[in-house]
Amino acid sequence: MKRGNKNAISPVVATVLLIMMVVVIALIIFLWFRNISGEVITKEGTENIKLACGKVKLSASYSSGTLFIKNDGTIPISGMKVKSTSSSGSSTENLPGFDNGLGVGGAGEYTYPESEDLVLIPVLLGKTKDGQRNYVCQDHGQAVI
Amino acid sequence: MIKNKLGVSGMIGYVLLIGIVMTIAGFMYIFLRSYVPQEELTCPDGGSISVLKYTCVFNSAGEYKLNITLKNSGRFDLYGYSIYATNTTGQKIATSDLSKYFDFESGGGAVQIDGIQNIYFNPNPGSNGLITSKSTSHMFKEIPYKIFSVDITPLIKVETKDNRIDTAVCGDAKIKENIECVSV
Repeated sequence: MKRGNKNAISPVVATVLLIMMVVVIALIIFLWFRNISGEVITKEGTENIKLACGKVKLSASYSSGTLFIKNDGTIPISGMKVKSTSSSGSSTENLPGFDNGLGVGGAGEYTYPESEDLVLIPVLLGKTKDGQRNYVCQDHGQAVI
Repeated sequence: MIKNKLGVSGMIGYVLLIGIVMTIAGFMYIFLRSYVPQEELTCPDGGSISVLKYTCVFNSAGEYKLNITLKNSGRFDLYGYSIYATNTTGQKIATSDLSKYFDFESGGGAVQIDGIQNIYFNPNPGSNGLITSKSTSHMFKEIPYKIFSVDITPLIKVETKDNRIDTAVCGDAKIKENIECVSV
């Protein structure tokens, strides 16, 4: 059998394939990117909430089963998690009684059992495309004990 | 046979290049714009409040009454303040809000708004609040617990970048005053 044309596929088919591949890849990138941008939580306009976490300023102390917390920063705190370490292990939970949050300059006292280590992790309320969402500032925990 | 070895013409090459660059730049802008820090509402240096004098008394029913004279010792007019008390010995951070016991008749127009733990010297438009070097006396009555100290944090009106007037909490200008109460 004699092969005169050395092209594997015709230029028309190649062009159609190329365009289809580009469209499909563009679609995949678009969907992926839309997903990423939809997950961004913002605070104070368009600022990423991760930056707002860095602006949180807390004063906290612990005495005889009571946690004293004051919000000295300019960011309202909507929730608080407590990471405690005792002989039985480590646990993280929402601070009981911290239901109304702490506004700017606000302060409160909360009953909490004694442990070896206590770390306060602030939770901020931010905005997403789908509405409001809480964000836990994991990297901005503050040791009290 | 292909005589022209160019894949696409020079013109289309440029158009594609610019188009791709603009698309990537658009994606990067959308993705990174949230990482640009916004202007933080901060109190200017020079905002300061001080306690000139105080009297604290308590009655047989265990109700405390605090009369405190505050002075604007800073360079800016003060819009208001927040006041918290410690009610146990050894308590480092004052967490008991005294603003809810504020006596409205004592402050010469000062008010406390429900739900907001601040006292405003005079929130009316045109008022400058407590102006520099002036002082005022405020009364807090029927406080149901003993007071050991108070933390007072001044508030200042500041203009934001978009020309809005907002309230800044001067956390760095917070003062602490130990309180001793006597029986009446």
